[in-house]
Amino acid sequence: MRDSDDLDLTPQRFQILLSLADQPRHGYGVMTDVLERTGGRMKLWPGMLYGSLKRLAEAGLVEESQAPADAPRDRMERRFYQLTPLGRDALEAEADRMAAYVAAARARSAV
Amino acid sequence: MTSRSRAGILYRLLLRLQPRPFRQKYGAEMERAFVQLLGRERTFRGAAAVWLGGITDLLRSAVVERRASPCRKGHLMDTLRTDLRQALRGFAAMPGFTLAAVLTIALGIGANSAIFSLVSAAMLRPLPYANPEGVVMLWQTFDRFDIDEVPWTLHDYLDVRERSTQLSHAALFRSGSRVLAGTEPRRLQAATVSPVLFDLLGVPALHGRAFIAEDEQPASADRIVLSHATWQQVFGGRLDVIGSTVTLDGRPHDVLGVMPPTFRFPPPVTYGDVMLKMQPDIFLPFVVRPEPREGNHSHFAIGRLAPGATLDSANAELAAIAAALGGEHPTLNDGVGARAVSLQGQSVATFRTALIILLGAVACVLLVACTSVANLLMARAMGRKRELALRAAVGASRRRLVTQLLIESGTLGVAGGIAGLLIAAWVVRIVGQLNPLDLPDIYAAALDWRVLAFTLGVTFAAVLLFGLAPALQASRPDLLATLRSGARIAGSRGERRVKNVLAVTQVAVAVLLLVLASLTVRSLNALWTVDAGFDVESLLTFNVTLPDDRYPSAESHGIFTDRLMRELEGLPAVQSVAASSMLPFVFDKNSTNYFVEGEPPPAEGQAQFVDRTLVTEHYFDAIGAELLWGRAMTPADARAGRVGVVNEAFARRHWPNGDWEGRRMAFEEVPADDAGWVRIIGVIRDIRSAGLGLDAEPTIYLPLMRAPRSGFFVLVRGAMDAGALIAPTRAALSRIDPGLPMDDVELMATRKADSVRKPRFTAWLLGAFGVVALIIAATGLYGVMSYDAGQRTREIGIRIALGARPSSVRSLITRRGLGLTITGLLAGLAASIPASRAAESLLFGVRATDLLAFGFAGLTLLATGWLATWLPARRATRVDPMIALRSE
Repeated sequence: MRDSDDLDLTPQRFQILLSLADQPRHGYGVMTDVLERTGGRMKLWPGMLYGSLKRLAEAGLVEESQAPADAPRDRMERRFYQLTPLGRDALEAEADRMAAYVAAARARSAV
Repeated sequence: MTSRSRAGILYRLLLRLQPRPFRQKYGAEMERAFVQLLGRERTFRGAAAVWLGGITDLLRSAVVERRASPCRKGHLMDTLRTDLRQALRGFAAMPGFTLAAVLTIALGIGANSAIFSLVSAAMLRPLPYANPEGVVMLWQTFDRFDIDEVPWTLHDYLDVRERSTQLSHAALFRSGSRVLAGTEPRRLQAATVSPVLFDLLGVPALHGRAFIAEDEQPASADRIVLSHATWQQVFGGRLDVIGSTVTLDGRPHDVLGVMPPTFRFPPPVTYGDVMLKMQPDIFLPFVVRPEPREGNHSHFAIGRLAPGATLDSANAELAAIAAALGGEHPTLNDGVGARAVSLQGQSVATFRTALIILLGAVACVLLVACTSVANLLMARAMGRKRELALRAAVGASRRRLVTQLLIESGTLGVAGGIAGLLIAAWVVRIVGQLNPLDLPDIYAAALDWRVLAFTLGVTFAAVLLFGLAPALQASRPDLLATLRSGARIAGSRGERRVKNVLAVTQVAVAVLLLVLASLTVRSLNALWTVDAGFDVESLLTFNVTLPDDRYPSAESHGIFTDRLMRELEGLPAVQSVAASSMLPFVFDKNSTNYFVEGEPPPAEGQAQFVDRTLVTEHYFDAIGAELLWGRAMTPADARAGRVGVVNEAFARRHWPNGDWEGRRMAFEEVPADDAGWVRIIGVIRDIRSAGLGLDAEPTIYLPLMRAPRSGFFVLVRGAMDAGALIAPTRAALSRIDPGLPMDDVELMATRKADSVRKPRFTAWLLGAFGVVALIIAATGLYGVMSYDAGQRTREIGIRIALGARPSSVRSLITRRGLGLTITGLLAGLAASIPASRAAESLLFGVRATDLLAFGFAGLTLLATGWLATWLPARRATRVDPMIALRSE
């Protein structure tokens, strides 16, 4: 398993992985999910979003998937993405890492 | 094409920045996501933020993706990148030059974009209704009198609506007002509309519902729909107001819904000289009640063409229906026609001239700005002759050099274009707030895709204009000779010629703009100082509208009016008070045809019209009009027979010799008996009621108290400051009826100033353009002459060393400069003649070939040109001859 430090998980990529954790989504779905979850603070523009998805796919953390059965059918074929097992591991590892930092901070300053 | 698909197209264009593999895989989804993001924004600011974010994101991602991907067209990109980097470095090294160039371009482009956004809004943007091309304005016509825009009678409208197959919908509208009860009663502008109007326009309510066809029943009479602005400002934007009841004019009304913020009705249509532009605060349903048929043309009507119908087929059908009505009701409808006009077309005509003139003027400013930047670039290129020659020597083709120089110009252009857009956005916001051209709200200008596309085009043209000439010049094949010559980098003949042409162009354009500016300023002055026929100062005016529930009869109107007059006359510092049905500078046409006793009635189709104004006894004192003959009306006159006072225009039309004693006239038809005649007891000087720029129409003043009205104007003349009268007047009105608001309170002086807002703005703007052009032209001339004098330093040194007097050497130099100035001057004056003729319709009291204006512009340019050439000449002759001789 690769060290999460090698994977260069920027906050934006972390949020993208988090969006895909519970279900496959298409690009715009990830955008709106992140926007809602961060209370409007993180806006993923299309260029950054799809660039990140491309690099996450190259790193083996996400892959294209079939559209879920309950997704609405529209004229355009949308590409859906989902986490790979590696991606899920990376997400957990990153979450653990952040939790460790928070715990250390709390222990240090009794926040 | 919807705005969404247009945004998509634009985004797709920008996507081309991305490398092809990335674009092919993700481009469609990126576009879709962006359009969806954009679609969530409701305000201009929000949409602009999304565009800015989207473009920045694309640029950033393009850089990242291109760096990551192997570039097939690497070579081209590399050279372009190198050129760009070099250009930026070069500009950073000369911040003063760069700033001057970018600012000049920005001003030129910004001004153009701003004016174009006005043009786009007024003339290009479709009305905010579904399928606006199908919406038409319906008019009746008085064929015998050649009047082709007459409002409808109720019954004629109903007949057309029933019989027409070419119109799928038809709706009436009338404007009025209602008083909203509350701690402070508030008058709301109300539009009474056929309930089917909202279907016709295809605009649904934002909250609740708008009217539907069923609302035409009397049971629905007390229902209203709010405008968005009113909902926000008066009702605090609360959703619970929908379905609640509000009290208007003392009666409860149910609030059905709220219209969207972008909804505008009525559309800006002109009737007479004025535009129906007041946006209503509330909408009431027009309820059809059984009424006898009469000839009261007071309803405006709008329609929608049925699918498959055309304007021509609709007009043919309307003519047929009108003819049928003429046969069925000959007394009322004989000679009355009907027609339909495209709503979009009708809305545009008024502003066309003014906007096109402004567009022309601002294009001149851009031309001047571009020539100025071209000059700057040429001067700069001159200093780099060495570098360019070297590059040519090591193998760079001419095309390569030109490309490099064009990239530099392009960078300046893009920077100037972006800065220009910002300037334009700011200007458009200010213009929107001030609305100096009196464009109705429906035309609120904004930087839409048309303006952006225009700016792009203008920037591109500007770059070519100022970049191409210097680039071609600087890359000429004789560079090798330059390299070999070593020391002196002299200006070639061709270069000098280009610079001369540029300088002459600048002078010519400056003259043109100054001539236009002078004309409009003189016109404005003539307008302002024209004798309005009455005393504008110290006069307070306002409007009173008596609600039907408390003042149901004409008698009650009369009692109120009388009481108000006496109450106001009793106030200290009040000299005279009057009420009237019309007010100067406030448009309200009330004209009828008439006959004069002793003259044959006018022939068919040649009716003469008089404007009727109802006034109380002290009107002429209050307004400060001059009585030429006879006397004003008294209360006794109001009770006795019919008398009236006419204005000069009327009197001279019929009795030019001034024998006005014992004259009588009658309205519409020759009276059956004596009581039908109106005896003329006085003549007053003309009052320019329709506007300072318009001569007075024949007018007759009749006693108001013979036919008291529920709505009238009040004039209060004070001893000094009319503004101080507002509070005591309001208190006096409140004493009589606390629930009655004082509407449209304005000093007459303010009304006069408002009436010249349009020409004042035009004059100011053209003046500003003229000054900017003058400064740029002067700077251009100065630059050329400085350079010229610098070239001839050696020659000057020799001449002075040989004994020539400095003054004669100076005149040698200035002669050339003056030659340029005079050439430019003549060209500019020649161009000014057709330009000023085109602007003639905007001028008042000034001919298009006004000598003073032309003379002023010419002399100003001459003086400026002389100064711009004399200064460098003087500097050149001050140099020590020995230094001059040794100079290179």
